[in-house]
Order: sequence, then structure tokens, then C-alpha cells
Amino acid sequence: MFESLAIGFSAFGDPMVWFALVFGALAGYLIGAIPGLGPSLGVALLIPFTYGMDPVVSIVGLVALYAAAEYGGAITAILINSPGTAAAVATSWDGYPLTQQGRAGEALTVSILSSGAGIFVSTLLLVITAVPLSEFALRFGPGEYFALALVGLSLVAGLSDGSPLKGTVAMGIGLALATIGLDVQTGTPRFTMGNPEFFEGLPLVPVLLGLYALSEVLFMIEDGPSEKLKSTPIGGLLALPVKAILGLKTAILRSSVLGYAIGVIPGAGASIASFVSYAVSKRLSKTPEKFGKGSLEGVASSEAANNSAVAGALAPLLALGIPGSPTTAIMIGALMVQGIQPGPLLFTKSPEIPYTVFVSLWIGVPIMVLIGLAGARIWARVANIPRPAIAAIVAGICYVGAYASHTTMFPVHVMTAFGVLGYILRKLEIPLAPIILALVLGEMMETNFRRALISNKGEWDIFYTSPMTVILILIAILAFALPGLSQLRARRAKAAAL
Amino acid sequence: MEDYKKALGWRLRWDVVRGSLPVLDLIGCAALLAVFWQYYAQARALPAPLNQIDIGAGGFPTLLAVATLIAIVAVAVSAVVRVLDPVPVTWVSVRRPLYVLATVGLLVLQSIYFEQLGTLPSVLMFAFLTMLACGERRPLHLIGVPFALGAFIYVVFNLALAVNLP
Repeated sequence: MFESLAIGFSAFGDPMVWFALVFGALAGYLIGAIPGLGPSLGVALLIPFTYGMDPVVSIVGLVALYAAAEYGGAITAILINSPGTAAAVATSWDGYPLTQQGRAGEALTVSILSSGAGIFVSTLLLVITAVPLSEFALRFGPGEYFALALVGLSLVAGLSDGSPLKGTVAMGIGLALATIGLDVQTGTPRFTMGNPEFFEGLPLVPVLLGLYALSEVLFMIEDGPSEKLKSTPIGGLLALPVKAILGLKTAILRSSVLGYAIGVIPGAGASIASFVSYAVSKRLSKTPEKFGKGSLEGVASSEAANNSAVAGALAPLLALGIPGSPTTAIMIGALMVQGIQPGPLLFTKSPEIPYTVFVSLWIGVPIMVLIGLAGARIWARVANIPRPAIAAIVAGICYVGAYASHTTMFPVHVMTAFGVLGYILRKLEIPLAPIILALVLGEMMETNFRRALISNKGEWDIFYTSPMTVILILIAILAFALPGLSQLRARRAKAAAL
Repeated sequence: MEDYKKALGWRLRWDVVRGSLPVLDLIGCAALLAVFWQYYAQARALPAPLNQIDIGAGGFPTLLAVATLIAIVAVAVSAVVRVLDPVPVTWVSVRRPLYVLATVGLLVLQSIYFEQLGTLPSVLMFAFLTMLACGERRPLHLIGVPFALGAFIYVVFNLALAVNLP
């Protein structure tokens, strides 16, 4: 492992890798600080800039953006009570009261240092767990692989916002979209409407840009011009509250481990990690009464957890090829554009990719902390960029990015169609994450499903005789059923109360 | 608390269009049922496998279509239950609907004329119009942002990444 980590460190001999790390971090802060733009949209928008780049350089930039966007979301949550990302909502519960008490600088410093600590600890856990996980996954046959993809999809569909039934429909839409094109095994054109441009399937990057970025433009149009936010004085920034931070070390460590564990579960993500860690810290705190009124422990717990979830989400992506969050699903798309297929073989075929990701997360910590602290005043002002300007910039990059992906107009048409479709689906509360995940995993899922049947001479018992497959399929069924049942129970209770 | 019966159907005001989510769910389900029924029919029409132990090109899509059709029907049933339920329904609002519609038109136009117009003129023109649709009225912003965006795209895509843009 140490030899492989040395490969990761050696990648930083290339100045372009450093450039990607710093640029990704800056872009991540910028996107994270703007309410409404999250890491998923940021990563989707950055993909067009990675065309033609070395895969190592591009993945470092994308991971830096992902991590920094989670950092950046906290800044506006603390200063103006407007979380830049959903994962920073719990941070605002204590961060903003601290700002109102004139302790904004202290809250920012604690949040940024906790985020850094969270990433550092979780990357250590990532290194320790991802390699054995990938080695274990090498023993999987096609039946287990199919079941594993089903687990990933069902967890994302079941845990996504809104109704699990709609998550299931979204999964069906994504899998159906993944079947468009030539059948991999027989070469038969499927659902191509006779158009040869569909033979290679739907172009992934334009679909991602449309669903995540262009649909957001329509939401911005709905919101209209933004009002200028009141600027907040940031006193005490860079005056490190060493004693306070040392007192938070247990909460930070606990939240980092918890955040990582939650991040590993596909569909759970950074927001759930921060809410759970916040609740656990409140329960175990010596001063629970301070939570919600300006507790540094609350800020530290939420931030350490949501940043740890970033590394957690990368574990199934790198080790199993199963994305743990919408952002990592988009990242898989970026890797596929470069001809790289994440999964257990990645560690043997292209070890420079996973190990450079590990090392970049560690090296990125001090860089991101420095950028975060030094630029706090700037990031706070970013939320004041007029919404019409953001809408125009996002739309412009989408069109150029879609065209540049194939230098033809076909991806531009696809992106526009998916932009409008994404807007309609979001209005109907149909989650986008299962669509993206299903689109990314669809081919792998179908191929393994068919391989499993062929390897078992067409007999279906392969899906209920292998213990591992049975366990995975049971997890998938529970992931669909449990959230649905709990929603039904909540609804009945609500109806009974009326 | 709003009377659920009033929640059915559409309410139209000049600045906002509102509809109840269960009703919209039913409309969405009808559209998806039509799409997936068509998908199912096409999947069934795909050639049978040459190898008897394979399920062929249409096997997986057929299974998928059946599963998704069941899920769509379940969503529709749940929408009907919510309509009949005394629990207040969720509303879906589209604010500034005319501007949203105009922007959809702009996006479609841009996707048609992007190549004919050329990247920079297209970006300049549509960025200006998008900002206008989003409510920006300050002339300096309306002119400055599209030019800055155009310059950024030219420098990054044309010069740095050497992408052959129209």
C-alpha cells in the first residue's frame, strides 16, 4: 500500500496537478458559497474543462471542487443564515447565532478547521477500507455484481428526497435511458428511433449538464433577480481559538468517523451525515442546552461530518464502481469520458487514479483551510453575485461544454431536452439522483444480469442460491420497502391527528 | 389549513401558476405510462436471442418496463389516495411562468442556432436574453456579463483547451 501511496505522491511532481487542486478548490468555494448551487452542479460544470486533460489531473480537480464546495456551503450558512449547500443546514443552526453574537470569525475558523480535520480523518479511513473492499469485490461473480448495483440504486431511490415510489420510477427512467443504443452483446440497435446518433447511447456529460445545471437555470429564472444581502462584519478571523478547538477534538473525531460511515452508504450523503452527527453530538454533549443558540460544538460536528461524507462517498465509487452520491455519479461520468472504469480493477489497472485521489485529499486539507480562512470575506460576498449573471454563466458554460464534448450539435440538443425534462421532474418531486445513478450503472447492471444467467445455463436460481447475492437482494428490497412504510405510517398518523 | 377539495386543479394568476401535486402526479403518470408502454412494445419487438440460454437484447428492457409500469401505477394509486385523503395536499408553483416559458424557448432556439450563429455571438446574445428573462435591467450588467463570459469561454476553451468551437 505504501508503494502505491508513493505513486499518488509522485503525481504531485506535475505542476498541472497542483494547478488542478488549487483551481478546483477555488471553484468549489465559489460554487459552495452561492446558495442553490451545490457540489453536483459544480462537478457537472467542471467536466467540460477536463476534456483532453490527463485523467489524474482532471480527477484531482473534480475531487478538490467536491470537497471545497462542502466547505464553502458553511460560510454563507454562518454569515447570512443561507446555507450554500443542503449539508450546511445544520451548520447554520449554531453558526448564525454565533454571528449574531459577534463571534462570526470564531465560528468560521472552527468550521473550516473541523472540515479539514474531517477530510483528513476520513481519508485515512478511506485508504484503510477502500483497498480491502476492492480486493473483496474481486471475488464477486456477475450475479453478485448485478445485486450490488441493485443495492446501490435501491438505496439511492429509497433514501432520496420525497417518495420512495417516485425514486423507483426515477430509477426505471434512468435504466431505460441506459438501454438506448446498440446492445453490447448482440449489436442490435435498441430504442434509437432510427437515428444513428443514438447508436452509442445517450452522451453522458450533456445529460448531466442538462439535468443538473440547465434545469437550475430555469429555477433561477423563476426566482428572478436576487436581493442584495446584508454584509456581516467578520471579527476574530484567523485568531485561532486553540483552547476551544482542543476542547472539540472528541466531537470532531466522532463526527468524522460517523460522517465517513454514513457517506459510504449510497444515497445517504453529506446532509444526512451532518444531521445525524449534530444530533449525536447534542445528545452526548456536556452542554446540550447551547445547541441551536450558538454552540461551537454544533458547528464542528456538522462540518466535520459533512466533509467526511465526501471521502465516504468516494469509497464505493473507487472500490466497487458504485457511486455513493449524485456528485460521485457525475464524477464516474467524468472518468468514463476519460476511458476509465472505476471498480475493483481500478486499483490494479490504474493505481495512480485512486492513490492520487487519496493523496490529493490530504494535501488539499491545508490548501483548502488556507483558502477558506484567507478568502472568507470574499466567499461571503459571493452570495451577492446577481442571480441573472449566474444563470447566464451557467447556461453559457452548459452549451459550450455540451458542444465541446463531441464537437457536434447532437449533445447540445440532448442537453437542452434534459434541461427542460430535469425542470419538470424536479417540479413533480421526482428525484434526479436515481436517474443519474441508473444511467451510469445501467449497462454494467444489464451485462452482469445476462452474464449471470448465461453462466448458469439460463437458470434463474443463480439469484437466490448464492448467499452473497441473496443478502444483497434482501438489502435492496428493504431499502425500497422501509422508507415507504415509514412514510405511510407518518401519513396515517397525520391523518389521524386531523 | 386549506380545504383539500379546493386544492384540486389549477389556479392561474399572472405571476404564478399553481397546481396540486397529486393532480400533477396523475398527469405525469399518464405521460410516463404512455412512454413506458411504448418502450415495452419496442422491447418485445426486439429480435429473439440466438443463444437459448440468453435473454436477448429485449429481455432486460422488457423486465425493466414491467417493473417501471408497476411503479408508475403505484405512484398513480398513491396520488388518488392523497386526493381523497383529508391531509392537505402539497402545491406545486411555477413563479414568473411567462419568463420561464420564454427561457425554455430561448434554450431551444440556442440549441438550434448555436452552430449557425457561432459560439461567441450565440453566447453573447443568449446570455443577454437570459439575464433579461431573469429580471436584470441594469444596462452595465446586461452588457458586461455576456462580454466577460464570452471572453472567459474564448480564453479557456479556444486558447487553453484548444477545443474547435464553431
